[in-house]
Amino acid sequence: MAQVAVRKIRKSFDRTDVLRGVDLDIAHGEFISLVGPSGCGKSTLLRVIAGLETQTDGDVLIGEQNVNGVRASRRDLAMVFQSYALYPHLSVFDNIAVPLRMRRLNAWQRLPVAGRLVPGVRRIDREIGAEVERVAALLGLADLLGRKPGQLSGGQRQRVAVGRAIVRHPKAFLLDEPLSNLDAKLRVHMRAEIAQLHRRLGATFIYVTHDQAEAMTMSDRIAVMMAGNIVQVGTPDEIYSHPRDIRVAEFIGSPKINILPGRVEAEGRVVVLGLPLDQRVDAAPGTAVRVGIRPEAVRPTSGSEPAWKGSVGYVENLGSEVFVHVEVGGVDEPVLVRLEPSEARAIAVGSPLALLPRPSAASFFDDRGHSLPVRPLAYRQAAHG
Amino acid sequence: MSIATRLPRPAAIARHLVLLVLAAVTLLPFVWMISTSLKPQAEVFLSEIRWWPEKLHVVENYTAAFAKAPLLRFLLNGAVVTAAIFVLQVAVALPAAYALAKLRFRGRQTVFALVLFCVLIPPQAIAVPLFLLFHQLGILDSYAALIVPFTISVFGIFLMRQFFLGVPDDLVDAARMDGISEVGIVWRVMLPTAIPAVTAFGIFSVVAHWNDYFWPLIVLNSEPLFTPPLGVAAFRNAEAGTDYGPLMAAATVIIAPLVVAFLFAQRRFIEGIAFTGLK
Repeated sequence: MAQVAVRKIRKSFDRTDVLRGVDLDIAHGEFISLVGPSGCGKSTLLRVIAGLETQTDGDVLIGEQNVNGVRASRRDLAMVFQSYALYPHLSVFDNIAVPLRMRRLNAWQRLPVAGRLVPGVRRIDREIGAEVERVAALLGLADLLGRKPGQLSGGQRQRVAVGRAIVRHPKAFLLDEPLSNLDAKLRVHMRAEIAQLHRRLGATFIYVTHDQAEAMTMSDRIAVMMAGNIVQVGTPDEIYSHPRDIRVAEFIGSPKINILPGRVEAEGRVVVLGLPLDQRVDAAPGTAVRVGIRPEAVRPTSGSEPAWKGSVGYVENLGSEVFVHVEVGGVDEPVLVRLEPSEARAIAVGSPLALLPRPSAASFFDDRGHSLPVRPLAYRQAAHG
Repeated sequence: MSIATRLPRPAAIARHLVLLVLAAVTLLPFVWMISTSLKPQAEVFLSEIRWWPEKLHVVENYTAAFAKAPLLRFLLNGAVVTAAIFVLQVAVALPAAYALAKLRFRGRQTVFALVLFCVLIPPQAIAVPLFLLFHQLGILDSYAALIVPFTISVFGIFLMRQFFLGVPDDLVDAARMDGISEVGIVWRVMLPTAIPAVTAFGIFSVVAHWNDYFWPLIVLNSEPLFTPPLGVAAFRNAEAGTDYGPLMAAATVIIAPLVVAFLFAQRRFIEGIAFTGLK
């Protein structure tokens, strides 16, 4: 059963179409990332699901219920914002308690002094206090409950924002780039914390990010958005290894995938820069194709077999891995090769280097950027032949 | 450090001279007022300038001030009127500013342009139509006549709207997700974050309406409703001619609350004018 689903969602601001008919089903307990370059509509989609933005057309379903026209506060969703959006005048305790107070107390009961005199309010207040403390303990905020947001570090504010979201057990969590205001080290740490939190709560998480690394490391599934559409939905592995669109291939993976020009020859065999590959595609001979090969799928070779001949333009040594930029005739951008430090020791800038792709590691795209199916039969022939 | 750098340079001397002259021009009337309030009638009209009277007439002048006119009543009127005006101005300006800054609706730009346009209308220009309107309504010569014209402060709406633009949209959205209504957002989220701006606006509003002479003079007849400036002016019309000692004593008394409030809120006041500390 889909916990959250959107059907043919369109959203226009004035004349600009931000969402162009988005369909997505999100299962109960799933961690799904909406990822894409800025301006692709991912945040708008999240805000439409939240009810903060009204779609121009289409349906939003939460727990099989159509929630079109239902106010944000009635959708029982919680959201964590990029800027944390904590109430600056309230303590950490009160910040986390707000959603509970708004739900369990009416306007009279919330009055500062008079409210306390209403029968039952003290009991509800005690329950709320206990729940806030439980959440604070879970997030390691117990010692900070009395502080104001201004006295907290970025990571602590982030935790308070998460605490405010989880305290009321919503149907789903919406996270809008929650880590992008943190420094790099803390971001990696919070990534692990959020993934852990998801496992512990078993709740549905919808996570918007422009950082493909966050999406890859945390998600059960990733939905890649481009120009107001979802281009591909799949597990991180599928998205990485079998991109359905050249834009997905280029967006996912760091460093970027190598895109090389190729041509289809007889029996779907693809020749790239003079080198025939071992994969065959379903396309007419003579078709021009673009071939995507990940940097780790390219190897230097010292043998005499046919290979791409080039010279080393630049070497990036990151310690644990080395990226070698190789200038190859016939392509404008250098071919990127990812190597172990031990493999890269002998490689010097300016020296010649011959490259070979790993077997069956390439993806193929037609002139519109759609991926071309690789023919399994042909593949077997190639492997045996 | 050489002595030369510690000595003020000519530019610095000039700057301080200018400031001293300006300060003197501003302060001298105040000093003269206080000085006169301490003098007996005979010393007020001396041809020499005497800052400190030979014969102190403090008790006489100040008791005369309180005896000749219900000064406390005037102060109370001033407090009631300025407080009511400020509270109502905030009650109108905050929701209006919130709508203009954070809600999307058709015609928002037009409404805001009208607000700006209204800032340009001098109160004197509409005094006569307002007077006639109040006459028709039969509310001339009442607290209402003093308060009602100022309840909608377009300057306040403009000031708060500019401040609200700086409040992140995320905060408003977070409040919506937490279940706070739009009205609730104005008072429970926007107001607490806007305290510096509200304070600044409050100072402008209170000073302006405490000192307002023009409008109360037009709409009031009954002395029990007089605001402090009007009350002081009443001394001049006293039958026995102008008695400057008690007049200045009364003026000192009615200015005192503002001066004391300024001293307490000095830091906020300067913040409000400089528009620092708003973030």
